[in-house]
Amino acid sequence: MRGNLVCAFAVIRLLSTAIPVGAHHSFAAEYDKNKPVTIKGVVTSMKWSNPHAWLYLDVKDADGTIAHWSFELGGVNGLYRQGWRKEDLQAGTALAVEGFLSRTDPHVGNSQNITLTDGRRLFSGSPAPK
Amino acid sequence: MRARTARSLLPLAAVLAALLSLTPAVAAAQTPTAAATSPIRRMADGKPDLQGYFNPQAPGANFGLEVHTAEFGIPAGKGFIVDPSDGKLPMQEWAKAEKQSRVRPERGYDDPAAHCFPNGLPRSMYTGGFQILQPPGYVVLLFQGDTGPSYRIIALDGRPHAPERVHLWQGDSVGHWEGDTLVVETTNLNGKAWLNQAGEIVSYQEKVVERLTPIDGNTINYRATITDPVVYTRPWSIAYSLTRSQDELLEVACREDNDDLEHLKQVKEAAAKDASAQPGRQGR
Repeated sequence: MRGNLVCAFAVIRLLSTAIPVGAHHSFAAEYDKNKPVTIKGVVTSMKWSNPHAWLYLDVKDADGTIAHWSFELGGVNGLYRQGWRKEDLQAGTALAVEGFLSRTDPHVGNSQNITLTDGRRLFSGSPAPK
Repeated sequence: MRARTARSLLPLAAVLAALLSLTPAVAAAQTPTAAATSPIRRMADGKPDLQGYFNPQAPGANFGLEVHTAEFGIPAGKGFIVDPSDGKLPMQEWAKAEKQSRVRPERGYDDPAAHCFPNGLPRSMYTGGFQILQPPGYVVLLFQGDTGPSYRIIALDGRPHAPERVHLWQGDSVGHWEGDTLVVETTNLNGKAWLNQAGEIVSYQEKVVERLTPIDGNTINYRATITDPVVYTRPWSIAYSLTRSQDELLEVACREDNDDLEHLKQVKEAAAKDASAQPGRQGR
């Protein structure tokens, strides 16, 4: 399992700039380029659904309050072809998500990159902003 | 209508048989490599055998058919318009204004692709890989697409197009061979599809003529000419290659969990509210 995960990360990073990622909707219409965010939290679940996968995090504020965040990833097909597997991100995994905030929901974003606590990074399959 | 029904049913068995013969996607899906140059494959009747999974070499086309640089959320595109020679879409003035409007965030909801409708033509041909099958008398294209599975069934028996009153997302396609080139004419398009996320436009008067010319066993030169006098001042053409891959179709149930649509609707409603609160500002 661990080996598979490491392999998947390598493949994801290798292919992230080589494979054009499709999208059925306008990224710029849904997310705000003026609101880049980096959110650190703990995975509660990952939903492998169409047309996009979603990553759910619990994020603890400075005062200890837990906020529930949702991050959109690429389509399940694209993630699969880039090496992602259902087992890759388990509940309880601590990580940081770099992405852009929704135009309408303060706890929804689009994930561009995911960084694990040991420094490894995953490409999330979303259209890459300039 | 009887001919239309027959067209829908006749190739079904062949399509299903071909699909059932596909091997599990797990291993193959990770090796999308084009094989080395090889001779054009042939059917028993000598016509080119185009069957297989092909990827369009048109990165960025779904974000604009003209040359464009990368912007936020938009990959760069080298431009795929080969006629006119300036690489620009020969749009009517009203169409230029509409295209400008469509790239505003609040118009993202209006792209039928966001609602998981079929991509229409030629958008279906550059938004992901597709499978080509050739049951007797037909060429069948199966799209995984980014908006969910769709298909085109191209009859080769010389039948006329569907009646004018019939308007379809993917249109009505008939084809014939000119030497090694498969020529496909598509009419009866409903004009609702957008050409891409750049908001490029077609109407119900759109007619598409495609030419698929295999140049070896793994490469098809693709060219599509679009005529649409409602939107454009003259016909225009795009061209790029289709390359064979060992990849296979994977399921995309686009309507399964389309949270984006609700978000895009909220953006549209918020813009409408802003517009109504500011007299003199034009909203949509």
